[in-house]
Amino acid sequence: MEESLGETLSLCPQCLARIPARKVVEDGDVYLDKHCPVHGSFRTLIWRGDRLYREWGSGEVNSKLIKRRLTPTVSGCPYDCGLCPNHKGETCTTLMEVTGRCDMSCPVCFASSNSNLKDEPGLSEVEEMYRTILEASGPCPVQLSGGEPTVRDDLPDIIALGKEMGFKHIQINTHGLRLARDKEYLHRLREVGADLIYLQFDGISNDVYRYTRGANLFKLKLQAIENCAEFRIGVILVPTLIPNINDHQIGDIVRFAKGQIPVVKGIHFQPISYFGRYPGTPVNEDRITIPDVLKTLEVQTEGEVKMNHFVPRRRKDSHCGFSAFYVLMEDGRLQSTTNFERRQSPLAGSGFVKESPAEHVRRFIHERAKFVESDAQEGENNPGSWESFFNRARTHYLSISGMPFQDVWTVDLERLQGCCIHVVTQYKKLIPFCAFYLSSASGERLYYEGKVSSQVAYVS
Amino acid sequence: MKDKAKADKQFSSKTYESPLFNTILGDTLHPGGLSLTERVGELSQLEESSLVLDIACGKGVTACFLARQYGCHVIGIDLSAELLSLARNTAQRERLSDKVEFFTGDGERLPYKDSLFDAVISECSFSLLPNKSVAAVEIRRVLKTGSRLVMTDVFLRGQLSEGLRSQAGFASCIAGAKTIDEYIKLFEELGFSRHYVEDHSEALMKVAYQAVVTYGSWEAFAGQVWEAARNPVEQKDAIAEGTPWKVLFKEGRPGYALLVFTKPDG
Repeated sequence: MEESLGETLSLCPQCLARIPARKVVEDGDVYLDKHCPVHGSFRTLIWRGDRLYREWGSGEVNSKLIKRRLTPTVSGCPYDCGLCPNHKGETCTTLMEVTGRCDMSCPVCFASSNSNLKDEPGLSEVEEMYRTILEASGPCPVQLSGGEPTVRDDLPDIIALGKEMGFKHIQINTHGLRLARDKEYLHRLREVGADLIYLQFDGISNDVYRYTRGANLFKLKLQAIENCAEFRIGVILVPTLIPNINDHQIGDIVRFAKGQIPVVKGIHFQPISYFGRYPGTPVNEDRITIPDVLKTLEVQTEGEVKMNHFVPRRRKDSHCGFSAFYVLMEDGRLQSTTNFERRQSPLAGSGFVKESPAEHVRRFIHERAKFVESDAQEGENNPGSWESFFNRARTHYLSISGMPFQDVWTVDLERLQGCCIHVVTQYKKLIPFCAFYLSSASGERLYYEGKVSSQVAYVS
Repeated sequence: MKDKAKADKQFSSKTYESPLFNTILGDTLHPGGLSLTERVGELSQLEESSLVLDIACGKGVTACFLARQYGCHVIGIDLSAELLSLARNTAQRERLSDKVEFFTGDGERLPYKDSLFDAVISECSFSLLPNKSVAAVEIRRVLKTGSRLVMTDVFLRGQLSEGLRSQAGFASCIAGAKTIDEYIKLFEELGFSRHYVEDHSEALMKVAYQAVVTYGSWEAFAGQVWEAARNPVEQKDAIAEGTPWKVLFKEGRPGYALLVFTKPDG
């Protein structure tokens, strides 16, 4: 028995041509079905369990924060990214690759770093990229990425420049090795106002790191976190989740994070996507879909974290990610502060709340990254009291969120158009994240050096 | 004294027009959102033929939800013309205009005849009413015998002195709340029976968390609400500045509960 949940557009995994696709339910799971006239039919699992898929529905779209469209619409989605006039999702965060270099060569890297050792942008190119962001989307939160940004000795200058140009929140996406080994460097990052460390953190034992990163890194991760605590920079733990490699440690990661509050502000799970260094045809067993993560969280934390605490993103891409927020109470329990409303208010999105979803996310990213010193005299002697709760809500909170990126197998162009995470390029463009890193089954990038690969045959 | 009570009621209805409340409470404008409203509906013994009164209906989200869920008829009353107009728009958009109606009305003086309603609903509004005995008598009067009042509201686990309550400036939900025992005593003395209570205090913590996350602290949130609701000229004196929130939370130890009372036969 098959049921259609609607038509959309996707890409052929072989030739990257735009092709029609259908979301179908079979045996209670949701699949993306598509057919390329040249390369045949493809079926990919996108969501285990159709009930939650339907309940999460599709959110609102709001593009008022996009100030300027930097590319015209010519060939249609996803070949005009820049953002083009058809893009609907306003920017929540912009990613900037400050280097292509990396001192690791991780099997799971989405950026295929270290494969491309061409020159990295100098400060003037970085300035140009900041300017592109300002022109297109204003001073949104920026994530400095790569490559490995900390291979650059002048990373503090890059942050200082961004701050000078008006960016309130700048975070660093890093493996953390230099932060563990070089306190002086971390200190400089802090001094220029780095807001948050977005730390790759795949698990709590070395066997996991040997598989995902090819080295025994756990001790170094601990050292990096300890150093961040010393210099009062918040950390988000970012595990890449891979079936049978570290999905048995999801609960352990939550328990670890609880023990690191307040320096650890949250956990952001990235179920593995198949691009970058991961070519080949993934089968269903290779996929961890959003409800799989949520169920596992509930089981492995013995119900402390529950599926119904999690809410979708309030956007067109409501099936792209999940989040829940907790306060760590004195008794060591996570108190949920979010829950999913199965029933939608008829007023939802009626404009009564002035803040758009992306404005909300921008403010949230900024506010919740701050390292707030605990106000010890207030409420600490009175566990379970409101004073203590108010105090801890400012200091002892933990976000648990996640986002599986779309790859060439799962990509849904409707969702791509609602995407709010954009990558700025040196070619004066902002490209939605999943389009930027997308590659064909044979490893051919859709976007390369700011242009659509010449190998892509646009049929349709 | 009477004028002060009136000004307080007007002020509190005005505060709920503020988008700030929407930010931390959502469209239903009460803790627990539609999930808790769903529970209210389950306990209200509703049928298609039922006529329901929603006291302080706000933007009409509950009225529309119940009408759709049970096919019943709902009348919502509120003091805010702005919220009533939003409620009417929602009903129209949802094609429920034949099932729900909205009117200006005061919880302490219900403009309806005796024994008219099959259920009365009050979500986070009873605590805001200055004269609770009068309001309870009015609810009993308009309910049919055997029918229920289903309310969700702030309750206190501690005690607030009269001095502290009046210092709070106007009947804010916490300053105006009672302990569970006091609520039960109030309604039972006025002839209600068969009380039933559920604790939903976690819903209030979620609201408080939203306030802290969005505005930095509860005081900052409340301060902005006050500022937004204040009519600059005439009401300035009616509102005491600097509501002692810290003490209200500390001494009052508020929680949130669902309470059901029945108007007995005969």
